[in-house]
Order: sequence, then C-alpha cells, then structure tokens
Amino acid sequence: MRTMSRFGRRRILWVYLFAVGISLLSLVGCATAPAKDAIPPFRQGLLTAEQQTNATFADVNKFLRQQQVERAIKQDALTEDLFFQAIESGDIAKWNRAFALIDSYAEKLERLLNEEQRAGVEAELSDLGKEIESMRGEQLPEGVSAAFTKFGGLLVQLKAERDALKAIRQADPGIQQVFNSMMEAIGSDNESGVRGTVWTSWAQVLASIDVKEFRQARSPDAKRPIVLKYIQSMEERDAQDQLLNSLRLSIATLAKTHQEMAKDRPASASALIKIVQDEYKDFRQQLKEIRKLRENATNNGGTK
Amino acid sequence: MNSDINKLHKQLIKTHQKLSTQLGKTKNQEDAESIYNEMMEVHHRVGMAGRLLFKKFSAEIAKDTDPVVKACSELDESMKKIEKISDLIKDVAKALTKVDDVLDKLKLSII
Repeated sequence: MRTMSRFGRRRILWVYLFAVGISLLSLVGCATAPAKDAIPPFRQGLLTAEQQTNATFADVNKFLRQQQVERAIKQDALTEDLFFQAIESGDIAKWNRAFALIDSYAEKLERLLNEEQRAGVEAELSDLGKEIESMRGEQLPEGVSAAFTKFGGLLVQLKAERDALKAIRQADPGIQQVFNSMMEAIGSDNESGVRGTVWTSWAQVLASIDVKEFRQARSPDAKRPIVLKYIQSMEERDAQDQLLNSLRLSIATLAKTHQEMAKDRPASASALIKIVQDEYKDFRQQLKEIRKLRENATNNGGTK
Repeated sequence: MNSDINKLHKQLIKTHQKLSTQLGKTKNQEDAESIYNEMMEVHHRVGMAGRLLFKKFSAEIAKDTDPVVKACSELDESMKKIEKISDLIKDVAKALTKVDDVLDKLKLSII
C-alpha cells in the first residue's frame, strides 16, 4: 500500500510539472530574439531628436519673425496679420506628442525584455520546486527542480522576445510614416519644407544687404564691412540649414534603427546617433559664434 | 507629399530665386528697389505657405501614430500574461500542498 501511495503521488507530481511546462510552451511557439540592445540608444536618440526639434524650430521662428519686422516697417499701417508664427506652437506640440508616444512604446518594450520578468517567474518556479521537494517522503531527483526553474525562465524570456518582436513589427509602418512626415516637413533640400522657407528668408537678408547697404555705399572702405557682413550672413545661413539637416538626419537614423529592429537585424545605432548628436552640437556652436560676431559688429557701429 | 500647398510653396520659392537672380543682374538702383520689394512680398507668402505645409505634415504625424498606440496595448497585454504565469505557478504550489494533505488522509483511511 505504501509503495502504491508513493507511486500515485509521484505520478501526480509529474502531471503537475508537465501541465506547467505545457502551459509555458503554449505561450512561446517559435521565438526569435529582437533588438534588446538597440532600445536604450533608440530612446536616447528620441530624446535628443525632441530637444533638437524644439531648439531648432524656436531658432527658425525667431529668425523668421525678424524678417516679418523688415516687411512691416514698409507698411502704411501696423496690423496683426503682418506677423505670424512660421511654425506654430500647436504643431510643435504634435511632434512632441509623437516623440513621447514612441518613447512610451520603447519603454514598454524595454520593460517587457527586462530580465526581471524572467527573474520573477524563476523565483516563483524555484518556490514551487521547494514546495515539491518538501512534500513528505518525496524528493525530486537531484537537479530537476533547478533545471525546471531555468527552463521556465527561458520560456518566459522567449515569450517576451517573441511578443516584443511582434509589437515592433506592428508599430513599424506607423513609426516609419511619422518619421517620414517629419523629414519631409523639415525638407530634403533647401528648396523644400522648413529648409526652403528659411533659405528663402536668408536670400531676402542677402538682398537687403545688397540693395539697402552695399549699393548705397560710395567708397571701397565703406563697402568693405558690408561685404564682410554679407559673407557672415552666408555662413550663418549655411549653419542654420545644417542645423535643420542635422535634425533630419537624426530622425532618419531613428527610422532606420527601428526598421532594422523590425527586420530582427538590430544594427548598432548608438554610434550613428552619437555622430548626429555631435554634429548638431558643432553646428549650434558655429551658429552661436557667427551671431556673436554679428552682434559685436553691430554694437561697434557696424553696418546693421 | 504632392499636395497643392506643397506645390505652391515650391513654386513661390522658385519665383523668389528668379527675382534674386534678376536683382543680381540689375544695375539701376530704382529697379533694384522694385525687385527687392517684390521679393519681400513673395518671401512673405513663402512663409505663409510654409506654415500651412508644416501644419499639414504635423496633422499627418498625429494620425500616423495609431499603430504605435496599438503596439503599446499589445505590449501591456503581453506583460499581463507573464504576470499571470507567475500567478499560475503560485497556484500550483498551493494546490500541491493540498494534494499532499489529501493523499495523506487517503493513505490513513486505506491503512
């Protein structure tokens, strides 16, 4: 009787273990590993792109407002419709919301793929193993409980990875469209999008220096500072265009990174994103220096 | 995006470029002033068209985030399922204790 009881109990134990194993396996199916390592640099890139967006567009708005002043002083009456925000704050808010939403999605991916998920299940399985082993008169064969714990943890990890990859693939078309719209809005060259508007404004600044200053000057000495101002303006124009292009490149890098993640080919995006960030810093510094030079020239009785 | 506003924006930029080229070739100050003033008006309209274009792209961006929202809820579901697995294992551990007790009682009654 004692032997039968032991045999029956052992059978039930294995039935339970089998049932738990099957329920874990049913969640997994065929799993592949998504781009866990690519997510932190992707999130860092999102943050940088958002900061770049806000700083670059604020700069563009400030510059274009100055050009509206130039037109307003030629009018007979001062009216509100002479002034408008070239890039409205409500539209920038839409960009910020999109960045925030994509970051929230990436944060969920990161959480799902976090090893704590696996560790939590492993801890429960370990407790279960102890429970089984503590059953009076029965001990599982040596190592079975530990192996089962590891196996369960692995299955949970595979399940998380499969779900993450599925979510990445589901989100990718939308993310590509969002980033494409952003890139198109910025402009692929200086004849389109915000880049086109800003470049045209610089052409207006250069025309103003030519018509209002250079053509009025009567001697080479009088013309020299105007020529220098013209050159500085060209440099400032180029730096501002590069700032916009840097922003576009950052967004293109983010799009590419996500696309690779969706194809289960995680590229090392961190290096590329760092290059774009460094480039952005350089152009910002360059623009700051050029503006300082212009301000100094103006304060010292220069041409503007 | 090949919208009308995009075409208009590009067309206005091209017009401004043509006027700028024409200004460079003009020697007469009065003509230069006229071209400059014309450029200023075109430039103003480039800004207005650019603003509308940006608005249009931003509206597209807001619409295109739908699949991301769906992916977010899928990820939430996935995390819940994993939590349920932990709960299931806990329940099995509890059930095992009870089964053990029942087996003991059965054994006693048979003996």
